[in-house]
Amino acid sequence: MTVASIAANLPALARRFGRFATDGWTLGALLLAALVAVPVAAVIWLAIAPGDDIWKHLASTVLPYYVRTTLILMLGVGVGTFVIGTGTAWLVTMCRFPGCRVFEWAMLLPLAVPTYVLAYVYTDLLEYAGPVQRVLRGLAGWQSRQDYWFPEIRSLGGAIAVMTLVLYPYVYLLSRAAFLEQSVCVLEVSRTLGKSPWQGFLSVALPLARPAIVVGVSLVLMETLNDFGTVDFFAIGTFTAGIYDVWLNMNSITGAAQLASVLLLFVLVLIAVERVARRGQRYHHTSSKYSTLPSYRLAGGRAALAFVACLAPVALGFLVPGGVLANYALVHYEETLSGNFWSYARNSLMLSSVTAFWAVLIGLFMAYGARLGGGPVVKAATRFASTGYAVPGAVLAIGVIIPIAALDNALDSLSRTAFGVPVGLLISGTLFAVVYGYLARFTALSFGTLEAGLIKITPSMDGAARTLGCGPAALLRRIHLPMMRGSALTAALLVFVDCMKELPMTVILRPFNFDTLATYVHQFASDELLEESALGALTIVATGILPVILLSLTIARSRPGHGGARRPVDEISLEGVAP
Amino acid sequence: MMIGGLHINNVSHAFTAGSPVLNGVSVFVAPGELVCLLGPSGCGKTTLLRVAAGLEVLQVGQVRVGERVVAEGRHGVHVPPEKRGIGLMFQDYALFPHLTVLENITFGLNHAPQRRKWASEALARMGLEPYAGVYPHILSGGEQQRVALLRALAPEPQVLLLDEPFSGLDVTRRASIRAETLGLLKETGVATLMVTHDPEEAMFMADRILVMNDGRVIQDGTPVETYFEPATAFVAALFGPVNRLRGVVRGGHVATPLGTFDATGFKDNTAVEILIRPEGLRLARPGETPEVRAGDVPCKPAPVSGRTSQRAPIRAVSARPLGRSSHVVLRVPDGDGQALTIEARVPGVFLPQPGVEVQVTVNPRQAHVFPTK
Repeated sequence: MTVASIAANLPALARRFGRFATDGWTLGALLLAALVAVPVAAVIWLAIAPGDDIWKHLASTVLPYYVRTTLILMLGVGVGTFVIGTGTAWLVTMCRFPGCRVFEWAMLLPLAVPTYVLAYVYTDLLEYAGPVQRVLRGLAGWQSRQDYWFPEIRSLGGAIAVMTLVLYPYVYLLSRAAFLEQSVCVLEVSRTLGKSPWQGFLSVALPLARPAIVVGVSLVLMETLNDFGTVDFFAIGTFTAGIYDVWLNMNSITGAAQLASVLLLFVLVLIAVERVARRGQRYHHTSSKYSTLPSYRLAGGRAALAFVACLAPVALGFLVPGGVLANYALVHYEETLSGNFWSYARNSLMLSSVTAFWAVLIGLFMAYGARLGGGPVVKAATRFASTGYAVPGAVLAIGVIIPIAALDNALDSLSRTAFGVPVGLLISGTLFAVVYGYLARFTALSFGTLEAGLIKITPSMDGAARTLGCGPAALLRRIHLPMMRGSALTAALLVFVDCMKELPMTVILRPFNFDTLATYVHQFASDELLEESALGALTIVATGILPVILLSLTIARSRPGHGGARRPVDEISLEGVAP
Repeated sequence: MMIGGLHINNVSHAFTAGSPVLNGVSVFVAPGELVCLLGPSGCGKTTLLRVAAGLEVLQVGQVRVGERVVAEGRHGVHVPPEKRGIGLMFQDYALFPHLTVLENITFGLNHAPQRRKWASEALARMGLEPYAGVYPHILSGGEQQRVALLRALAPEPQVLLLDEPFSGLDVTRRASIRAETLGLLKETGVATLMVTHDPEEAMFMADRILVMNDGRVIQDGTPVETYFEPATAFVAALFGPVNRLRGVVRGGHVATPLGTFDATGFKDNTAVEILIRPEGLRLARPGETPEVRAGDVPCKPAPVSGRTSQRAPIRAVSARPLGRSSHVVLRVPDGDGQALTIEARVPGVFLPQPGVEVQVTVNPRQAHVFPTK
């Protein structure tokens, strides 16, 4: 081949290379999806693998109990968040009463409080020795438990109340978005056809918002299944608590995996429900005519009722726990700081930053892979990888332990046969395992955020930049980097905050004697020492407020006509703010 | 010797093997000329633009800018889009949201200070000066369109491609922005290939119209030629609703209920259809003298079968004013006891009561005879 003919063939070669490069995206996306999938696959594999079969034992002992408790918990939290979420969303969106502008964003505040923190605070307040019962006894002159009845907070009902207070913002967010989106026309039509505002809400607005509400409630239920801190603290036998119990106390990883696989079934149903509802949302857009939403001006007693209805969840879910923690922190900060607080904070910070960094890198790769590779394989792989977020932390943790232990054993025996030196367990119980678990769960967050950012860079923008003289590298530098910067920061923040709060995976996967703020708070609260760890809990809540602020800014600017001449803010995926 | 302009020679393109989007398309646009690709959506217009710009890799054929080959299917030549000197304005404008209006326009100007001056001047001339420092999303659709056009023109491309440039604008603004755009393009002398599905837009803008359907060019001519001498029934129907009559050629003529039309060049017994535009009909009330021009076909319902010599009159069914013209629906007896319904559009106010007899003549330039498929 002459030089000239090679030169003539260069473009063709380049094209062939280009095709290879897109295959590289496919390969990479598949690999990353596999990384996320491995834990889930490991759980299923171990659960159905023959051998150490304790199915029968489980079925005859704890399984029915776990199923029943979990179902009751889900039902209670589902109904509770539905009522509070849609009710307050309707009041705030459609009615005018004192303070409603503030409630628009304040309703989101409980999102910043992890469920377990709320559980600790309310136990502290409402238990027999707590201030509430003490005051009651003082006022009524009761002497002992036998003299009066008081609801037990550490119960299934207590768990339902606590989780409802923290999780209702999901439903609030999504149903409020649906109420804002719906055309005013349909509401006005319902009025002209003789319906009262209340009937209009029940017969038009609520059915139209149904898909959004279903999405919200299924997200709530996923979080309910994920919760470990509350159920462990309240000693309620849900699946998540059961997995932990069977693994650590019964010392049966197979049993834990089998429980985890049943829990996965619950999750699969929720994912399916959520997907179907999301698809349904498209068909519930009635018209594109937006005008200022009509507002029912409430006065007198009705206004007061609306005010209380909105204030109560915010107060119970955020103001009271925040106040209690701040009070404790102020009193006890010296002893907290002289303890290991700083080292726990450093651990949390380090784990969260490392995970955020990698989650953004991986998320970027997957988002670009889905855009450039584009094939159905890549799409399916990225979609699969993003279901990791729905899988409860306890399940993922078990799923991380299994392959890592297998890898460790393989390495060890390899080293023994090759060098005659045992290396022991290299990866198990290391921070690597923790970060891997975090990534398997939270990469979905960064991927979702980055993908939403990338959609804003339309293919025609790429084309416009190319025809205006940008090569691929310049395209990346001048269009994609500046436009993706905001999304990348948001993604990093969301992952960071979720890692700061994460409890079940950390508890199961952490190295011996290694504590983060979350595990430290959980440990101290379990030992009835909430006062001393209050500063830690307060730190977690304070970090959790950051995404809430981002979220309320985004919502404020989302409706046409709001937000004027400002630069567009990157959208945050709604799964973005997990308690 | 040929200089400048865009040459697209015999280009074929398929996204899935076996179903070509483009099928042997050739287009030439001379410098300073504006050529419109007109066709229904999905006919391959936009793909042709993307192939020309280099956003799709050419499969078969050749693309040249002047004498320079920028893409050749056979030899695998593919000059990347940024090196072609071809500007492209997208249907959705594709303004960069993170850059200001001025930054958008000067995006393609790396080392050309004199063009920066041009950009500021052009902004001022279009009344967009106050927006130079704002971000594009606060601009109206028309303003965004102008910014996108200036951005595409700023690097002085030899060829400019416009993909449905006015489809995003509301009807009231469209006419004025069209005129403004045409003026700017003619001033710069760039070879422009514009895609549209709006025949009126094509007529207004184009020096030549290329009608495309199913990935092929089916007619290439001036707007007047395309309108008055459509190559196929498809082209005739593209410019709006038509009345379709059927008939069979006898001795170079075809008799229809509306009258007898010239069908020179067709063999006897060929089945044909006659397409008559609503504006090709001239109407008058009985007793009035209809305006008849040289060559017009007077429409007396012919006794087609010859069984009866009595001719039933053409009557109005409905008439509606449209402002500058009137829309009249007529009932034409076909001589067999049946009747056809045809539409006419006549200038001014002409509103006969339903059932009133109407005299009809047809402008033969607006009546087109094609063989029936």
